[in-house]
Amino acid sequence: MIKIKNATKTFGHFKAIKNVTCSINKGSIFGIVGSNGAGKSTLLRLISGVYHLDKGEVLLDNEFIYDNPKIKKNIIFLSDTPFVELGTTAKKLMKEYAFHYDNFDKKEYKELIEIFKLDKNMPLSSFSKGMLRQAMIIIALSCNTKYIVLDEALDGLDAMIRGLVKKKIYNKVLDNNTTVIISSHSLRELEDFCDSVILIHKGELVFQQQLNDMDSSFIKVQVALQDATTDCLFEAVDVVKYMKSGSVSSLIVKGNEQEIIKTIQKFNPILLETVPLSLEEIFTYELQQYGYALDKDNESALNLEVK
Amino acid sequence: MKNIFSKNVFKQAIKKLTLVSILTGLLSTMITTMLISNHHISGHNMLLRFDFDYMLYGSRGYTAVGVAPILLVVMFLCSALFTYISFNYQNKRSSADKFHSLPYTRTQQYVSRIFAILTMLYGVIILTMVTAWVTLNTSDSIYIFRYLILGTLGFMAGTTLIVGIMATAMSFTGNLLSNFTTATVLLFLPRCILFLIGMLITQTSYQIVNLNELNVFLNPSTNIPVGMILDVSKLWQYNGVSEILISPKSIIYTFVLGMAYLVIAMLISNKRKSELAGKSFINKNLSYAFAGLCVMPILSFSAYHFINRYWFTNNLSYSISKFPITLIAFSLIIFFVICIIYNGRIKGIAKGFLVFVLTGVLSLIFMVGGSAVADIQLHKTVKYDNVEYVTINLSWEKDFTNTPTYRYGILLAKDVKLDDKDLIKLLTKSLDTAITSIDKGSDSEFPLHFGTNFWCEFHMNNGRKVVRNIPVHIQTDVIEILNLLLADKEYNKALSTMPEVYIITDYSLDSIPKEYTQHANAIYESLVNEITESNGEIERRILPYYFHYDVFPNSHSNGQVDSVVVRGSFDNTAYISRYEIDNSVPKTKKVYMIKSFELNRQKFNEAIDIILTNTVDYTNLNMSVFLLNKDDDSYRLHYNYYDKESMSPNQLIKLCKDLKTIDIDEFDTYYNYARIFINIGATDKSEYIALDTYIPISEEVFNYWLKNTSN
Repeated sequence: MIKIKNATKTFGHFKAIKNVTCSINKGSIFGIVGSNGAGKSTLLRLISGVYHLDKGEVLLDNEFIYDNPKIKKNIIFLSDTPFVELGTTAKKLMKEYAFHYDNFDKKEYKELIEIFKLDKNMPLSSFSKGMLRQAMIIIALSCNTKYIVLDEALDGLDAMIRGLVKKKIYNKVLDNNTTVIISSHSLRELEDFCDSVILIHKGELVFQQQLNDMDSSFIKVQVALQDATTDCLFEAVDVVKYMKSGSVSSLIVKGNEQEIIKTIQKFNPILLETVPLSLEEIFTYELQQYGYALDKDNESALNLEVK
Repeated sequence: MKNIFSKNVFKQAIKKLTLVSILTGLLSTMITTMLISNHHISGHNMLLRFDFDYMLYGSRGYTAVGVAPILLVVMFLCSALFTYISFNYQNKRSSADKFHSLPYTRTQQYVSRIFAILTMLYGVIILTMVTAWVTLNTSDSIYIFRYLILGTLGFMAGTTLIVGIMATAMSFTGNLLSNFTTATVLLFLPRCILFLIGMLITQTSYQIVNLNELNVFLNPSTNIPVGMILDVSKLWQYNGVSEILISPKSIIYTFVLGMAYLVIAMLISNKRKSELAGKSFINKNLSYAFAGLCVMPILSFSAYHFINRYWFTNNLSYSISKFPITLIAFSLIIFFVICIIYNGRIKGIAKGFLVFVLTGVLSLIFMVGGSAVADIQLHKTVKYDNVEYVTINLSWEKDFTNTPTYRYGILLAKDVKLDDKDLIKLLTKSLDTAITSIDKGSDSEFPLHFGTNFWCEFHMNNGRKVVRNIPVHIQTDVIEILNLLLADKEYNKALSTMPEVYIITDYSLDSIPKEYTQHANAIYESLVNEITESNGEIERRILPYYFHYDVFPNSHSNGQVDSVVVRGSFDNTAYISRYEIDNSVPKTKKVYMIKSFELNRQKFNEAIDIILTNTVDYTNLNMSVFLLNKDDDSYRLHYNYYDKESMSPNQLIKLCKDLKTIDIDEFDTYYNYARIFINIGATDKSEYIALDTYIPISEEVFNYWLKNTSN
């Protein structure tokens, strides 16, 4: 288990991470979402022991990670810009990591190389950005560490490969009880993949959500009233967002689901049903609650990229 | 240990350096082999034109640096380059991410890499030196084995220092430019300040207190790389770069300093922020400080110039000349240029100006402090009744040919303890007189730059030591000191001791061809035996020239005699002793002349035949004949064919016929002899002949030519 407590990291006068506190369960896939410059990579480097904390603590299995090789043996960090020496091939890279990580599984590496159809003898410098990322993911998976930290590892991969990578990560988590921490600026990328997600913005943890328990203070209802006007609803419930398509109106309403349904039923609706909120919608409306304004031109909050 | 060193990182670092190390090793050994195989001594002397080295080792012997000059490149450049290659991962975010996430401590990463760098560099140095040793043996070249060992250690120490400095620079800077510039500043700045302070001390004391005798921090020779650069740049005069390299004191100091830098680098590396990658410095203030350090030598020199002028003139307005002000302006420009380069913008530069002012103040404080130290050093008087004993190093001297000479006897005598109260009293009195003269300045009755100097180490009763170069201005005092030195049996014996053969590395005899230098052994052995057998009668002839001029005037020859020059080393100090082969050593002189004729006989006969058979164009002939009387060292007569007034072609034929009758055995019976120089220029019919030899001459021939000369 990873525990992050009041983690703070400053670069000069710029506070990249401000008092972030969260925990990551063992055997889970943990997503970190945020816009560019939000502090995702910095947080991952703190988790991996690359950066030294200015304040707070990061504990892996109750031990400090920074400068602790015993703990670092259990974690592999894949940077958003992987570094490879000139002339290094996938095979050489495998040998290098096998040298540093005792549990490196060469058999698994060979299998993955074949599955991903990469030429292990070709210099990595001649690989495309996506291929290089694949090669690095293969290495990360083959290291067989308890924790895998991936910084925007899925970005730049085509849909098919992305699916394949996700599948392999799932398998790793299921088979080895590995904990995967992955960052992305694409919320949808992680929505169907992670067990829990945090959103950070300007170095602060804005929101944390367990995806198997999408408990939100907002609900989405679709309603059609007999007299065709829904103005009355605005007085009865706390409508955050309103959209109308024909006679059916979609409302994002803040409050308790049971109470909201009960209130709306008083207006004898022809149609009344609740629709599950997407992760993005939850983040967007929760963010509003935290005082973050919506971008008028872009429905997605905080410039999060929607694919 | 496990948390300090990692085998894995070490192996990886070795792997990374393998290619560059193999290339360096190959190049280094090849160049060394090539230079030695081709007897390229003059080549490296031209390359490394160090006067003292050349004087000491002549044209045949190899200096410690001269054995493998390529190792200077290894020490100065490869050390920095290898360190850069091993630690440049810190300069890039992606590589810093990778290496800092690996399961090793920062200390393990650092120590293992340093071990790898030093292993490779030491390997190259040892390989080169071993190659040099093998090549020297196979090519029958002259060298001192001990110098090879000390040279190897010297290069290793210098390498350690530069690796340490480069590692320190890389531990708090984050890109190539800042890595190398900071390393340069770290290497030179401290020594530069110390050097200026040291110069203040020696300048203001008229060299009574000498830089080379100051402590390890002020003596520039202790830092091998910087000392070498200062020596080559002629900013400071020492005994040559080789002497710096092989001095045990320099080796130890440089190695310890290198280790200190390595430890500092480790401590900083452990605290180094990964995010420094790609940036010059972690913050702007550090870049201002760096710019300040860069200009500190210039500001310090400005302060030095000002203080020096003030010290000698006591005139403040005279001291503030254009020169130091120009230096300040110049350093201000450099300061701002550096700030702009490292910060990439002008904004906030006003804050940097404060740093510049602070640097200026600091430089002034350093120099004023140095001046105060100089004053204390100068006025440190020695009370003669507090002196337990004194040792006197007569140091090097200039012989009759004006060649600086470091006598073997002087080296032996410099450690002889002298406790004669009269001698100590005279020396302390002379020191007081010198200090008073300096204080009086131009009002002094003694000219401060003249006088016979004595390097004295006063060993006090309380165990302390005071080293002073005492100028003695009164001639009677000089003679008295020298006589007191001779009166000390041990000192006298040491001065008269000649080097034992096994430590001799090179001879130089004018009329023995260079390729036959090994024959000089017999001549030197004869000289040693003859002096030993004389029971001290002729020993004074081999005393240093101090005594020849001041104590035994006219005891030295008139400069036309040959001499044997013996080079070697004693107690890790190189020496060069010249012993005359004159009439005071008749047996040796005879051995010398016979050897000379033996070795030149064939060439001599060829030359005479060429002249007699008239196969040579006489315009290409130059022949000089000096007739010498057995009892007289000076040349009696001088014939020079080229000088037509001295000798006509007919006379030349007659002379050659007379010379052809000579038999070497007649050296025993003949009373007189001649020294002959023949140069026959190359023509279509003959090859170039050049020879310099002694020949025996019968009385008949001698007398004939004595009468028939126009001289």
